[in-house]
Amino acid sequence: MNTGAKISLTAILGAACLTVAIAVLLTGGANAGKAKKEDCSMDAISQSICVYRLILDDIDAKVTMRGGGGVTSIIQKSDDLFEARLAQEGHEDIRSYQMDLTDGDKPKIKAVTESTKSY
Amino acid sequence: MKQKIVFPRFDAELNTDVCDAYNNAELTLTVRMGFSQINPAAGADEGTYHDYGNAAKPARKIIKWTPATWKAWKDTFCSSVQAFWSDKFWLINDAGSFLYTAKDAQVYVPNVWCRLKVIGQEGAAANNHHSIDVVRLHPSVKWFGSHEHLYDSKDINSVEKNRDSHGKKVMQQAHVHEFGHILGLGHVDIGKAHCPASGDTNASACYGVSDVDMNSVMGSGMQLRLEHAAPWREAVRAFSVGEVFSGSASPIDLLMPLARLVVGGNTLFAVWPAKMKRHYPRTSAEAAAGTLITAPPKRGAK
Ligand SMILES: [Zn+2]
Repeated sequence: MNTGAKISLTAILGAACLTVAIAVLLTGGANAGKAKKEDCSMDAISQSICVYRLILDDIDAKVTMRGGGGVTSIIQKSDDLFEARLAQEGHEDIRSYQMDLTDGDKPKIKAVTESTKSY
Repeated sequence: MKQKIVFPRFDAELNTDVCDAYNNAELTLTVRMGFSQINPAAGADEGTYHDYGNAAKPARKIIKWTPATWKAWKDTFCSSVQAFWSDKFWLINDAGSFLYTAKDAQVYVPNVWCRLKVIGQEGAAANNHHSIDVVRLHPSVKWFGSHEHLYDSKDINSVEKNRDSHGKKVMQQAHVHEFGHILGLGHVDIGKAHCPASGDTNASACYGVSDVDMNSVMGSGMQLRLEHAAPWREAVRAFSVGEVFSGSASPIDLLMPLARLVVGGNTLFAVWPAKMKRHYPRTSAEAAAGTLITAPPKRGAK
């Protein structure tokens, strides 16, 4: 009986944990792409995730050439300069992002410049 | 008479033997395309190849060409390009060139029907106008970074290229667009503020910003526009001017200067406006009056 009770308790606890985990995942999914203000200054990883999300959101909103190979890279070129490359037939569209990182809580895109690398 | 002029991008043949009271001269541009296979290294069935042939770019899975798939791909390339670009334009003869007397004893001013012939041959052939290497993509690969001399097997498929202002997909077959470049055409928005001719005209903005421009075949879509007749117009002007200076004028040609005055044209300043509908040959009087004939006219005995 004792053993059976233990098993039942484990099963209940396991199911509860799973439910919590799914809830967390769902919450995370709903917030994907929306950097929470308080998250960005927590640490370096948080801040860079905020920056990359801003860049991805900007690409999603502004780029109409949706075909091609998609976003093939986003790299940091200097402290506040990031570069995204979108592969297209015969060329890459390059979007350079000048970021404003003075407010650690809330990184902002200061300027975007577009250029092209032809092949 | 059949005359030929060799241009860097194509050979042009003007055929006036086909002219009669109803049929125009035919101007055929012939492009010899060279094709070379790219296969996985060391004879393997599968391998990889980098976008744009650039080792710093993503590697895509490729598979070996077979004789059957290679032949089918080349045949499809040539036939679909030809079907798209050939027989779509008529150039209106405002130069008074290539006059001929039909069987009804009437002198006609022929318009020019724009045709295209694409000949596929080995990539190593010395007389290719344009050569391309082609990778065969693994079925799991959706996209490969091509350029003007490096294609992939899916470049003949219709794929999403852009989204218009209503969010509607604008589809394009890459090889049909690329063939426009082979004929000498540039991107639709070249010269506009967002695509300055001094910059890189491969920038995405050059593929059309407005919905109309985006749908052009020299933008992101598949629509032909009158300006795409430019390669044929360039060629016909050469034949027309050459007719004046060649000294090989036939008796009827000797009357040309007068005829041209009558129709109000001048070879050197002729525009050869393009139309996308059949326009029948005109008499000098009809041409002089600026009449355009798009329905089969009543003529004398054939
Ligand atoms: Zn192009």
